Amino acid sequence: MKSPLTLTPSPHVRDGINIKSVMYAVVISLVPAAAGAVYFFGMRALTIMVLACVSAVLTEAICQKATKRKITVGDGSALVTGILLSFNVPPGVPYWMPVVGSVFAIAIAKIPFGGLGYNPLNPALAARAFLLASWPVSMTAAWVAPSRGSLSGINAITTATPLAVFRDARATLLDPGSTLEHIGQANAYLGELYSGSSLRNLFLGNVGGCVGETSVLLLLVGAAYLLLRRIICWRIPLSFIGTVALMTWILGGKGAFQGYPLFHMLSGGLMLGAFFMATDMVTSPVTARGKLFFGVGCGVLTSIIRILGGYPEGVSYSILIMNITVPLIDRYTRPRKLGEVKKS
Amino acid sequence: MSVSLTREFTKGFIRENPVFRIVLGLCPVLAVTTSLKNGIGMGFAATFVLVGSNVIVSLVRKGIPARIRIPCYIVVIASFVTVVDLVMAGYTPELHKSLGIFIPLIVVNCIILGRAEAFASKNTVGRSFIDGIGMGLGFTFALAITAAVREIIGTGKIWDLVLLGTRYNPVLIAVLAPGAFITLGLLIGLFNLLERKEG
Amino acid sequence: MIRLTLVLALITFVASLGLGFVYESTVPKIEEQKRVTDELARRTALPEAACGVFVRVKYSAAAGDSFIYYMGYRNADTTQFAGYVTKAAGRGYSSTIETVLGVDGNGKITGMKITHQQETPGLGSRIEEVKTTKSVLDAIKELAGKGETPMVAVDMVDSTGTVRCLEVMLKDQPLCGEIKDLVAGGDTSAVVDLAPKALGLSPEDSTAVFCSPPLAFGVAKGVMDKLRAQATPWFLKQFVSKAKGGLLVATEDTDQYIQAITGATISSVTVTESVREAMTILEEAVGGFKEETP
Repeated sequence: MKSPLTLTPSPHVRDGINIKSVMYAVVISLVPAAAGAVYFFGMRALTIMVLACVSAVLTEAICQKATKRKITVGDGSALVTGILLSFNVPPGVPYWMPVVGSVFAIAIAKIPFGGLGYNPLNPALAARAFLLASWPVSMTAAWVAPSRGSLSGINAITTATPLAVFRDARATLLDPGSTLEHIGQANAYLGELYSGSSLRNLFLGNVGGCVGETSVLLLLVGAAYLLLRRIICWRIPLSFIGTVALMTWILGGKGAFQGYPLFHMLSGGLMLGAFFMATDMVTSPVTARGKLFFGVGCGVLTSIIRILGGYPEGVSYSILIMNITVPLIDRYTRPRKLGEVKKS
Repeated sequence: MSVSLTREFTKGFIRENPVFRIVLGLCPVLAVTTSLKNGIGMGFAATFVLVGSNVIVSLVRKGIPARIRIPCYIVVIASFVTVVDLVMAGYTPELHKSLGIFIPLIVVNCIILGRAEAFASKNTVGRSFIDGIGMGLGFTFALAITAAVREIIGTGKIWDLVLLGTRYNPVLIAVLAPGAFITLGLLIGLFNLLERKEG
Repeated sequence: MIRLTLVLALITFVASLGLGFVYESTVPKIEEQKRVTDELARRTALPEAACGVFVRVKYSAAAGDSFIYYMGYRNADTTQFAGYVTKAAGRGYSSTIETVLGVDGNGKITGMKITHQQETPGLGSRIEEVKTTKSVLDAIKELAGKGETPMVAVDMVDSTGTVRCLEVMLKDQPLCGEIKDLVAGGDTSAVVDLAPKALGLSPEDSTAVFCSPPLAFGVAKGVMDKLRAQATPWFLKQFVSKAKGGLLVATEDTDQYIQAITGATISSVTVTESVREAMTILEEAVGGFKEETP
């Protein structure tokens, strides 16, 4: 029988906030981007989202039932995982893929570690990495152009996402064997990528990409809601995006300090990753300094993968890698206790 | 010495399976289990070394001073590994090539040194022989299960036999390094579950 | 103390006796394997002489070292010269890497095959890849059963607008020229219709994939990467770029014969350097390659 007197260690903060309210706030914040995905990519995007969510929730319920634990699918965490996973796959993937991804996210990346609160990796991102390693062809090529735009957001090319155009053009520029004609062409593509209309397309989301990552505007609307409700704090997103801007400015061009940071800030999954996935409460540091460190680490890795690595996009891997370092970050950034003297 | 020989033999499969229960020798388990062929080849190679070293160690156990027992065991084990390496290079060149560096690495497989130290140095030749075969086959069994799961999921085939047809889209990650860790983790979980069920 | 030493010495002695015996009895078998490997490697490295004969030549360099190379001929009576084959060896990260390389009369590399290496996994152990004799087209046809292939023909324009892979894929296909023209004209939807025909597939197999041109374009890129990985060694490009400035690789026609795969920098640099060294000695041995302007 429960004692009427509850004894718990400090801090004794009373607030109406709980897992359920946080998770549903995240769901609400993702609605604009989801609506944008349907607007740009059509019913296909909606189908992928629904499939991912339903299978995530069902998997969680089945796993909890099978392991005879309390069934907590009502808290909305599986729903958030499902939405985020569907946001992270290209819109052209076969329909079984988000289903398999969701099952992996819950049944491998979450439940075996102890369920919500104990998973070291963000389940949606772990599932994305799983899909990418298992079916690289579908995951890196099943792009669909938005219904009112082109895949790259520019007119010259219609066959690749903006970051892929960037990578190929950069590779051409760096390859000593490139002909003058190719170099000129690559420069022209880069110029067009950095132009006003291309940046506008990137901001609105009128380009190819994963289901929910393209529209910076709609993601920012959701992020603003989360920031205002104090569900997430500014530290991780700001340090993440700021570092990407700085690094791509330094490294992204032909020489040092010749990159074009605005393009990198708006393209790929950076906004989605920085505001909605790097800030995942379970898999990010709790201390203020730790959050800044985490964001900077994500930003450095993302920039390195984009500019020097083989993949065009590195947001998901960088967050996963930093997820693993979270216990360490928390340990070394623990705030001093009141009255504790710094040991020299 | 009340344990029967049969029990000494069968313990390696489930109860004291070197991989799933004692969690030893994981390096080859993770590295060579990309196909059933490799897994079984590796298992038999290790079994041969294990039986050989167990028998020799048990034979000379009374003559070896405790202070230099480890170097002695290592010499014995390394000799058997070199024998396996040479024989495989001569007679099964394909397998030898695909196992590559992992054959010489049997020397540092902790199952073999572990059995020499924990069992063969304290038991009779007959028992050590049975223990070597049991443990070796248990190791082979573990490798084979892990490899079979990974090969079927990761390629849709098993031992060159197409199992899942052309419509199956192989889960490539299963034959990559992360797949080894995931498969092994889940199998160890399964064995824990089996043990708990048995009581 | 003396007893310990004696015991250890005795064990080591007995072990080495046993090993010596095993070595003696397996060495002929191993040598035989090595001979077969080398023979096959020579034919891989110099594809023109794949069905011909090789004549062993021993060259004594000024320094007193001897250097072995082979003259490859297309026919059995050694009248049609195809090129030279020799072996390069260099110290990699954890082993000696041996590479058999074929060189044509002009000093261009026609092919390579790594015959021995024991590099560390993750640091170059995949420096050799299993040779596949499959052409890209074979691979396409094989994949056709999976329903994911036919978009291949569309992967002719990469994101920088360069036309590539078309020749390789459609070399012997009757509709090749027609498709090429369409690509040049930018008429992608017509290509989409023609491609399955060119690949000998029924349109029913491929309609789903071709329903939307941008999708087909996108998928094609990934599939081509996969096919290239099957048909040619996957690090060929890296090898060529690492070898730049020193080695000429006869790439155009013999892509699928070049076997040098470079996994890690140390291993690939070893192969490159050892090949370069072997080329220098070979040039000296054969009295210089004929300079021929193409």
